[in-house]
Amino acid sequence: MKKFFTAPGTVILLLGLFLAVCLCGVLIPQVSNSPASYFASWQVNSPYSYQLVVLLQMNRIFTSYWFLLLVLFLLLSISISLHGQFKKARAAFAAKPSGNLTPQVTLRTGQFTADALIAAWARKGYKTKKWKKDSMVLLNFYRNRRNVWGSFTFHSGILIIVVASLLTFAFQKQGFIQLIEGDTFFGRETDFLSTSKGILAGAFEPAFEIHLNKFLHSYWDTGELKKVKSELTIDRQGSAVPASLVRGQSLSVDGVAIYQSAHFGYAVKISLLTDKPGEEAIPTYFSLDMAPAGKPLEGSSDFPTTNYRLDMKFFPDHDGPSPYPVNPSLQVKFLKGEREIGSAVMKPGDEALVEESRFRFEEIRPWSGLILTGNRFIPLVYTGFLINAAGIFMMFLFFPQEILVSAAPEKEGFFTLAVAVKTKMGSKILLDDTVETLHELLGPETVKG
Amino acid sequence: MESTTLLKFEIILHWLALFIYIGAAVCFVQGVIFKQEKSFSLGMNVFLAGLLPHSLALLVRWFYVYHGPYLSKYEVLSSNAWVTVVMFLFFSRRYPKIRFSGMFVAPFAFFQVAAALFASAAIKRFPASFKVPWLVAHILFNKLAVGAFLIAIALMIAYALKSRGSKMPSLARLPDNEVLDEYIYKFTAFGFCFWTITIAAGAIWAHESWGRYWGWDAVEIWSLITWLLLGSYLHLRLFFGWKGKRGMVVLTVCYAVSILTVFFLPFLVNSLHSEYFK
Repeated sequence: MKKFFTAPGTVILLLGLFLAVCLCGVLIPQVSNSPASYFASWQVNSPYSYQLVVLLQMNRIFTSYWFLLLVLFLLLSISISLHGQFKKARAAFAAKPSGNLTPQVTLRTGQFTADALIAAWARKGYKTKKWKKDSMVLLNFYRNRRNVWGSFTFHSGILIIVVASLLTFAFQKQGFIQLIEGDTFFGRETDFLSTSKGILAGAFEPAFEIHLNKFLHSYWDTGELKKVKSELTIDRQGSAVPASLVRGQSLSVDGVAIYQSAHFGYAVKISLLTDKPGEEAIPTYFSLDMAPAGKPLEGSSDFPTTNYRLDMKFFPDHDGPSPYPVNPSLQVKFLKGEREIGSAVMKPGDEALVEESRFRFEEIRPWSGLILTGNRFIPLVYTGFLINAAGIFMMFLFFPQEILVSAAPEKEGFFTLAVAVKTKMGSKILLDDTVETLHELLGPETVKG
Repeated sequence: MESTTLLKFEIILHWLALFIYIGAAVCFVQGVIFKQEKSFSLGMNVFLAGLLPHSLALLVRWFYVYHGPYLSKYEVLSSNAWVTVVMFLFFSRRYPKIRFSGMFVAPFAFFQVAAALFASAAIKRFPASFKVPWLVAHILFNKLAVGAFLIAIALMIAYALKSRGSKMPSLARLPDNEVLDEYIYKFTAFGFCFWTITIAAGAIWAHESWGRYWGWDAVEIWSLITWLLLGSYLHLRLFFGWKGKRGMVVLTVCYAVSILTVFFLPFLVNSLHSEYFK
């Protein structure tokens, strides 16, 4: 089993499958990044292919059980391989420079001083081991010896990232709230507009309340969104703290991260009035999504308990000093089925009579979209990134290098130098560089011998 | 000065850089064909001269759009070319043996600047979610990785020409294939290191901004595929000794995917990333 999971064939197969899955994830539309209408139309137009894709979970590949199985196999392979890599790295690190390298180049020189060579390679960041064997002087220059741990570090980083991702997949909690200016989120799971939770995650009920004091947004001259900001009060069991939440910067409260969403808009409150004594007006909130600067906000929705449908266009006063509408007006079309039965342009407090019904435009307030995320494993993911990157640098950029120069004295004061280099990443450049340095240090009389 | 005047000035500077880069390419080609060391030195100086208007163009744009050059096809391609030229000048001073590859790097630079000039130079404003320090790391390391990849590709072309047994005597002057192979490896490893930081910094940025570090977005997936392929090549070389032609075949596939990921996909697919490139 151990051999099977670390065999090159198995690793290549697993990686090949992973790459194939990634390609499928790009080519087949996924639930996470395609609208629901796309799948509805697919189901209608090609029911058999749709059924097959759903059955094989190909429309949500990266959360499918078989993808999870593939990741587990990869995890197993990396874990077992790490054991072997640890033993190899430990042995390589413990080994002393032996001087048993086969000479690759020999040079003949009239002047040789070990100290000059040691100083030259010290400037290049090499450490030296010097010893004598008979009449020969052996110099072993080496650097980055610790980086024999590179491969182990690199693969440990991958292991940590994969484990942290699986834990995230199992336990992460995320929820979206639409918080109207002046309202409070009480931390109940039912107060979220939508939630997305890991397969083993429990209820998502943050132990704090969020009150939206003010919502601000501004645009660039090109109409693009410049800044989105929510002025909040976070109430943690009686201790209320003001906080500003800006798009792009999260807040962390009791292990829950709060993000400013780019999804925001206005909430319109319209009441259906009644003349019957004892009966109260029926207020309803409608949500209008934010529109580009200078454009009206639009929304269409049924009015509950009636047959009416309301098509709304809201014109906020963007020129006002405050983002809160200064001189707003709401244009409403009242529809019954497809038939328009009335229309009105209203300011807050205005009423409109449609057939027998009276509607009052009560108020309009901006709402801010907030994303709350509970994921305890993020530090683990970041640790994995750090270890993985460190391993890559150790393995591929600052890899261990060893140079052996042995000098044997000849007659008439000449020396024969035997040069050898050792590195796993190709030795030609290092060898050329070594010979060039020796030529510079030992003078022009130095020749290849 | 008005922004339209600045925009025109910046475009003129870009055209100037483009023509100087063409001149640099000519010098490098001349150096290889006529075996003139002087032409290489001249090519380096011309390249450096092209970098001046190019740098000025990017600075002018930075000044009037209030953000770095990374928010549209125009800015992305131009800054990629700039980083490639800077990296080439830096590394070819450190490793003079690779100076000849300027004959491929210079065309890479002017094609990118030309593609930028034919794209829209319209200003895109800085989105709200971009005010994060991780953005700097994500973009900076991405550009360094792309620069390293392009230099490696230039050396691969030379390797391919040499190993095909071309009878052009001028090619005999280029470094041995063994040396080229090692330089290709070095630049690939360099690019791979920075590609890793790009992905990690992007993931951290995504988490800080949107609450998720990986969203299986099309560009994210292709970046991961590129990373896996390049990592596989480096592993094959390190653990299985895949050097020379065998390694080059794998690397050709890796770079084909890299080019697709860096230069085409962000402009073609619907992705969170592509919003800022189009």
